[in-house]
Amino acid sequence: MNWFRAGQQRELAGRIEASRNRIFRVAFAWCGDKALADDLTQETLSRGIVHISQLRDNERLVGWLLAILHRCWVDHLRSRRDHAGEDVLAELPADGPGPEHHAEAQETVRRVRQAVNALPPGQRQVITLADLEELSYAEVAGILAIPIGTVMSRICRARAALRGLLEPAQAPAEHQLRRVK
Amino acid sequence: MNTETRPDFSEERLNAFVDGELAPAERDEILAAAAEDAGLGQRLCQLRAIKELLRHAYEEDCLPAQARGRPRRVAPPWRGALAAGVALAVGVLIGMHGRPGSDTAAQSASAATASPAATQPARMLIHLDHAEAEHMEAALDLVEAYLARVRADRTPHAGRIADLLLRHDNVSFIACEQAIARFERAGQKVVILPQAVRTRSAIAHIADRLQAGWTYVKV
Repeated sequence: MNWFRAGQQRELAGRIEASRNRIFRVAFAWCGDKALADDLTQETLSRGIVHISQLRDNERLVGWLLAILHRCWVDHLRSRRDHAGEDVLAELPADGPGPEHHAEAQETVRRVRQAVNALPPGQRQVITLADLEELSYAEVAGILAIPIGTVMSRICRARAALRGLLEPAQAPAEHQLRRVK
Repeated sequence: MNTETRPDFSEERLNAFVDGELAPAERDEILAAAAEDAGLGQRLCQLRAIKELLRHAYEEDCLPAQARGRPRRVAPPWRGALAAGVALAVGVLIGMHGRPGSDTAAQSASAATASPAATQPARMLIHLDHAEAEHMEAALDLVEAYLARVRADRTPHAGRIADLLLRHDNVSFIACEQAIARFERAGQKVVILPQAVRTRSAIAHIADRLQAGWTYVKV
């Protein structure tokens, strides 16, 4: 039985390593810094490997890893309270044209990421899990250990804030849609 | 914003609609209303656009390979380790086992005894993922303390490593290629000690060892 379980865990360890890019993407969306996202990802995968025997339902591997990522990030935020988001908000451009940007698409990506970074961490987590990982509200609630009602209200506030942050530079809604598709 | 939108569709419900959280009947209700209410339709479009923008912003140019060219947020992690002119591998694993020659932990663990760990030789993996001098010191201290041969003097790291390897044939140093690649992408030169063995992924290596009953210590 133990032997069978060892084989299962080896396979799971492989899947944990294979989840690196997905975990990194969410970590980056949360913290907005690639080097830090790298560290958070590494820490998450390490903790995942060490506590692999605690994973009850193998199908829920990514959700379980995201919950670990959440704890890693909370630990990180606690360790440096000063860096809670205001700085990033202050960096938001006043919509100046900027120095001759070649790709307008790249500019959009940059603006959206800055807007996401300007959200309070709790809203940032909820909105990125729902939109990037396409998780249901119930799954997001489970990963972050918060009530579903909180997930819903945070999503509302996050989208309202993003609209406010992105709107001034955006043309009317039809144009937005055309460009994204 | 258009104020003609029906008040009964709360912002939360519209977001839930966009996120596919509503039951078919509720979806139908909102779709029917949006067909007659341009303001409502526009609100839904905006929410949808924000969702798409966000997804788009993180779908490309966002993999670990992109971490190149940016300085590490921590002050130069190599400075301390390089002091003696010898670089130490980042992501070093120091593997030890108390009694050499026994690698049948998985099998013996399947025995019916309640506490298989107690009957196995003590084995330990020490995981270093930073090259700061104090981390290396701590790891080496651990190794030496574990081997119960703590030395009074502190030789440079490379010297201590070489010495450990010379005195104990059950210690190995393993460098993680993923970690090396990460540092090289960040523009840092990585020199691996000649005694270190490379492994594709330290994580996978740790997983293998854990399954064989090793104790894992992260420094």
